[in-house]
Amino acid sequence: MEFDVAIIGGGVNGVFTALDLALRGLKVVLLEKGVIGGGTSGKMHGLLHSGARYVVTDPKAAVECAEENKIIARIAPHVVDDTGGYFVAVTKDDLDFQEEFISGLRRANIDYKIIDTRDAVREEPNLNPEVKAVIEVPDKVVYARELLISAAISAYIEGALVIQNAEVVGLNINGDEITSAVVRDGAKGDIKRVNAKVFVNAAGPWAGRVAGMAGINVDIMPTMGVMVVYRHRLARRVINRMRPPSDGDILVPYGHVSIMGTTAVIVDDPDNLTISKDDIEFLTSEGSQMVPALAREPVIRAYASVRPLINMPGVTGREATRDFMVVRHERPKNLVSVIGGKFTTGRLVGERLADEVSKFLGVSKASRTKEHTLFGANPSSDIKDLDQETISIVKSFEGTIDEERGLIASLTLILHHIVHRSRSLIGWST
Amino acid sequence: MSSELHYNGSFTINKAPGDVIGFITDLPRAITCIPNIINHEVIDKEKVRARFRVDLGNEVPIAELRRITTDAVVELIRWSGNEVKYRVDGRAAGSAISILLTIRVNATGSGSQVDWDATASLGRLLQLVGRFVNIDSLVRKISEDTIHGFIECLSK
Repeated sequence: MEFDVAIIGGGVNGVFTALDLALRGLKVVLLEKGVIGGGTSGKMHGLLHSGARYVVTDPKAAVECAEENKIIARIAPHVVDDTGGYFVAVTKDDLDFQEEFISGLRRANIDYKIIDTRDAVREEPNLNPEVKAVIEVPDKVVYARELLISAAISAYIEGALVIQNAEVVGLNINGDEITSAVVRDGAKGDIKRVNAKVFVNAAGPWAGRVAGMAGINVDIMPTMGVMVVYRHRLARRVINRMRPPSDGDILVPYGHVSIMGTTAVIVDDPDNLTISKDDIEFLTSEGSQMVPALAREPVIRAYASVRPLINMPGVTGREATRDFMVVRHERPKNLVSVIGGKFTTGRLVGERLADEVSKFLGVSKASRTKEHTLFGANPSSDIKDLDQETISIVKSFEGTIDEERGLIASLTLILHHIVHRSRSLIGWST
Repeated sequence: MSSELHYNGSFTINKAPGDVIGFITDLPRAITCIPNIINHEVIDKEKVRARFRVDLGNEVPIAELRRITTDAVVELIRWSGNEVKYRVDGRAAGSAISILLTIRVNATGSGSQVDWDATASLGRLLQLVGRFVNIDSLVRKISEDTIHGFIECLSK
């Protein structure tokens, strides 16, 4: 079986690329070495950026985040909590940043409102009562795994195959083109080959490893971002520190818990992360300046994601300072890589990658993901050949106390089903 | 690339050497004059725990990595005549860092000349800085800002 496109990596960039290309009518396979969202994307902080965080330092990324924030809320309302967000000035330095911050918000055309600090403390009783200024922005909370699975299922519905436990361990190259990916089938323990006309490297922190298989020398440095989870939800809104982006400046109300992020720690190996007590103490100390109750709040756990810092041939220093970069390699010419990106802009990355692939394949159809409502708002409908047992379990949540909480369970069950079906369709034993 | 860096420099100030030495050996006072310091805790007269935030610049591709936080213990380890030695041990971006700073103060016609010499071990942090940032410019900027902060404090 030959595919038009094989996508390596089932994070936010990979699933949206799969959906975009499938919607353009291409024959797509998504190869994920673990499970969908099991890497960096499933370990984000939960913030669907309004763009406000980047208006001063990365105005282009800010505009992209602002647009994508609205698009994701529109196409996947079932995984987005429209909490809003506060940017709070705690120190004089923060206050000094306010004017520049507001100018940036205006330039990026991001809705904002200056909130009287007394009103802000009334709205958010856990906010530092000494807060010096508060600006409200349209930050939202996104439930990461639900979005990723919804996008993967949507891609499957449009014809893409989604294979988990499929680690690309090599690329066969003939002349200046990749002919097939060598894949370790984690489910069966053997090696398979996947043929495609174009290969997309959306492997995130492992992108350097994939590029290396194609003979491209990539200078990659993984950096770890730590998130700390506290037992209770301490704010209705996302609380951000009003200062240029730094470590320890975002507190996200995620379901019934609070998540404080993030740090920037250089690591040697993206597969081998250690979270130190210092990281947890640092985040708690920074967060408690915005929300003092955090210092008294029990820490449930901490987790970490890996962001890749990459120097890749074809990427200039100026381009690398953008949020993300799509690279069409000269050799092998049918490999397209994405470097960087935020969870919030994952759909846009998918669109840009799909544009590049379409150009290569001579496909003129435009992206439709901006308007394509994702599967999941009503998980018991719209799935082709869903087996009766799966349908009955999914439907069993409706009208019960766990209807909302059952969404992730239903989506995971359906993902399991489509992965099983994808393996059959590609000819791999199940 | 070696993870150890050496830098030195000098500046003059219109204050008597005794005043300058008195200032730089008063660690709890001098620490407040360093720009980018977020907070500090005086452990004793010769030892301070401090948190700094360092701006690495826009060439670092990830916005959150452009300003990094450093927790460090600054200790006056030796004071002999006109020479003072400090050691800074800390952690930045998950990397252990260590800086040995030697300061000598000599009289000039109208004030003092301050010569400084620093040896810094940045460990893995240098991998980040070395990839995206001109280290010499960064060190020069931090030094100039710190010197400027000291001079301002001394002039008060």
